[in-house]
Amino acid sequence: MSAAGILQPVRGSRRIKDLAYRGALWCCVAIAMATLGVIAFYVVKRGISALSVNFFTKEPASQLHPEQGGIVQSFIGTGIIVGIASLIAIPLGLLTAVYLAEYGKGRLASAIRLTAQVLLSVPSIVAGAFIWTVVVVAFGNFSAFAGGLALVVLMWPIVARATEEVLLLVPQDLREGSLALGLPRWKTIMRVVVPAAGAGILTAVMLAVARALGETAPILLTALGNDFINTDPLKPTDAVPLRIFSDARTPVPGLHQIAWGGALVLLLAVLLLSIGARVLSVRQQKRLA
Amino acid sequence: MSKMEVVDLNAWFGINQVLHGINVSAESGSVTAIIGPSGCGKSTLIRCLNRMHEEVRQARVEGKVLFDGVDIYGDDIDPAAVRRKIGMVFQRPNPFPTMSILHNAVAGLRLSDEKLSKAQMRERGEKALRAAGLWDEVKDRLDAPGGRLSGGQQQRLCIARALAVEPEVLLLDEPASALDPVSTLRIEELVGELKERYTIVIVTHNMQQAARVSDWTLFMLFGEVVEFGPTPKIFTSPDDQRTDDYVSGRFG
Amino acid sequence: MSSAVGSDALAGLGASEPKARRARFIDRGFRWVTLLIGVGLIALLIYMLVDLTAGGWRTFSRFGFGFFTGTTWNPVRGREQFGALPFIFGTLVTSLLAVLIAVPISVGLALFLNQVRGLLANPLAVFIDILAAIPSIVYGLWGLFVLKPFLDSTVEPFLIATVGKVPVIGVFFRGKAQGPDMLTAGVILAIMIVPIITAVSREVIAVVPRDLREAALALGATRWESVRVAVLPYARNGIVGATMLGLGRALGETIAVTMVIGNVPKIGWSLLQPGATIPSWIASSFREASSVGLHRSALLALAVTLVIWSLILALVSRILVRKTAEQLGEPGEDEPVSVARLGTAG
Repeated sequence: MSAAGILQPVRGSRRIKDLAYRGALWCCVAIAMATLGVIAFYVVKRGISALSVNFFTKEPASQLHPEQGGIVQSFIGTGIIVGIASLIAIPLGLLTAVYLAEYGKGRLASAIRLTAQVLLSVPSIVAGAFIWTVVVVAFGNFSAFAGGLALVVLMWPIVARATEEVLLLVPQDLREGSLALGLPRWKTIMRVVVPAAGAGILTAVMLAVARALGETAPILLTALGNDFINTDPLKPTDAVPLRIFSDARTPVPGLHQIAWGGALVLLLAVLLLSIGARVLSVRQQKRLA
Repeated sequence: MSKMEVVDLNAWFGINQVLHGINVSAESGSVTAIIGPSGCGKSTLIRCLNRMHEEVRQARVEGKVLFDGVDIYGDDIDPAAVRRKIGMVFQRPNPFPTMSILHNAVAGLRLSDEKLSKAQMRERGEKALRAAGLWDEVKDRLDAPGGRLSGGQQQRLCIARALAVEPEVLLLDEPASALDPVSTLRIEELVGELKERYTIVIVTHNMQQAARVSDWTLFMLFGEVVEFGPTPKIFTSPDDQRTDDYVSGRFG
Repeated sequence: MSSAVGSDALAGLGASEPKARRARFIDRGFRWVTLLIGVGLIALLIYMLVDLTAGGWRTFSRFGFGFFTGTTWNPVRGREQFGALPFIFGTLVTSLLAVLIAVPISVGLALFLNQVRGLLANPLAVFIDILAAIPSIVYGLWGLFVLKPFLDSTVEPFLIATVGKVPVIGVFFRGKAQGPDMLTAGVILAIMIVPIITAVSREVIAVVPRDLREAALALGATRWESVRVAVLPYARNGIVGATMLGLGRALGETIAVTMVIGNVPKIGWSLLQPGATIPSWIASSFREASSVGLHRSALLALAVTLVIWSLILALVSRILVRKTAEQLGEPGEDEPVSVARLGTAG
């Protein structure tokens, strides 16, 4: 490029292309923000009118007067299913992370990491299909327990990878300080390293739970859903996403409104957990720095 | 018998040999300083004295380290027990961030198998904090987080932590190099007080500090012992020319 | 050491003391527990793959390759016919449409986020993260009650009236605007995969060394030119990798698609007709799949197909993203050597 070329002002087709490029970028931004705006707007607008005391405390009423009923069985069911999944997946994920971060540096550790990566890229309905054949068909009925197991397949790798990252961030000095006091390795890990990583581990758990709350396909194939409250983990149980799914596909507008209400509550819960996790993570990084 | 004696010690990181045939001893109730330029193996040597070197991947040790005549690398020896008798303080203060000052001080006791009551913990914590010269500054805020103290205070907390398990030897790996001059002086004073009850080995890259604080000095170069002798001799009339060059600042 | 003095000193340090032995036992036991749990994760994956394959085996062995090329899906006992082509077709069409719409937008967002610091960048990044966190059922609900009516009443009649009349490509836009269709499914999928394609593209673009771009700008290039010359060529592989990840996510998405696509096993040219994808079909027919007979096995065979595709895409994507990082991530070879030289010269 000659000096004359550099010093000349940009004009003509070069300028047009550049302007078009900048314009295109801004368009993308506008599209993304507008889409989120429209989604948020409708969820809030249509969902809020469904929220009432009945909504949170009663079971579905007759189809003629759906506003007199609610979806309490879905909230309870979600609590049971995600609760079962968390009780199983969180300890398993944490201990897997401990192995990866503190003990395993060889091929087995790489294999475990790869496995976690693979499990994370497989569609969630496959986890559902798997538990469907292994538990539902084998035992003869759909159940909250099966739903929990399907979610474990998704949550375990998330907790494991996210926790491993946090454990690796804990400075080596702490481990050395503890070992130099004559403390055994397992105590060093569980009483010094893990507490030091505390908020980060909580973040990992929150992210996994947020994901589990929003999943529909895996629990559709395993817990099936229910119109009534069910606290027996071995029987079909409802959950908020399942209820939204079935109510939305009925021809009854009142039930559609209930579906929107469920969607609003679900969205708020998931966002609160995700944003909370993000805030905690930033604070944790500041603390360890 | 020396409190600690190193006999023909060799150490490796993977295939790199970092210590070659080290022979040195530390007398009970004395302070031994290890000096030498960066990379000469000082830290590796001190870490071999409480079996911390082997915690690193692919680290290897050959030779003997005798504590009261017993080889700590013997077949039937428990490394954790070794570390309770031979304590260590590190270059960068590393108090446990989630524990209070008191809990940090007694961490070695709380987390071990010893069953102590709350009162006993407090008592031992106070004893250790006094010995480390930190008690007066923290006695009103024993429940505050350990991380809130200043650098010098944190390091004295780590010293208290090491002292609380009642070791017989105290290893200090450049304990003041991350601290300001005032805190450094405090630490040096502390070493003077502690040597009555403990055998102390201190690694330092600060020669004046070694001269001030120690009774014996070991000068190392490229993983080997160059000279070992009483501190006054090493610094005024060493036998080896290299020692003389180092202590008069001609290199390093 | 057998002397009395020796054994006294040893008494403090001995490893065969009961206390020391117990402590070592617990320590080793703990390590084994964590190792076994890690192995358990691998076992879970293997069990899942084996179970699904075993389940689908009857179908594969009965129909062979015809499973993938057959167009009839009939679970009626006695006349079973399981051809997966309509679902493969639906999955490909909706996913490719989603990628077609999402990639330009995502790359644009990634470039924007990369060059803008400060006021606007952070909120935008947060918004994209929020989009990523929205559960698919909420997308499905919104897609069914908001997006679909909108598309049915405005966009689709427009497309039918304009592009639909053009020869050749018009064939994609024939038919009725009303009713569930693959176009709506494609658009919803596009919205859902924008966050992940953006995130990975951002990482890939960030790895491109700034110097190249700054050199171009210093020579008087416009912003577009500097991006075209100093960023895109290097980031290209990575962006393709990001696309594959997005594609993988799109073809596995179940609920949002089920709600807007109509679940009809048809193959046709028009995007405006209903269809079905592999996940949506599994979700809608599993209830009728009895344990006896071939139906359940056929659904599992579909699941296996899905798994194989996702794994291949994930693998290819990983290779591509890593290739980009390798090409660009190396610091100047000179740096480490000279620093080391300075160190030993003292």
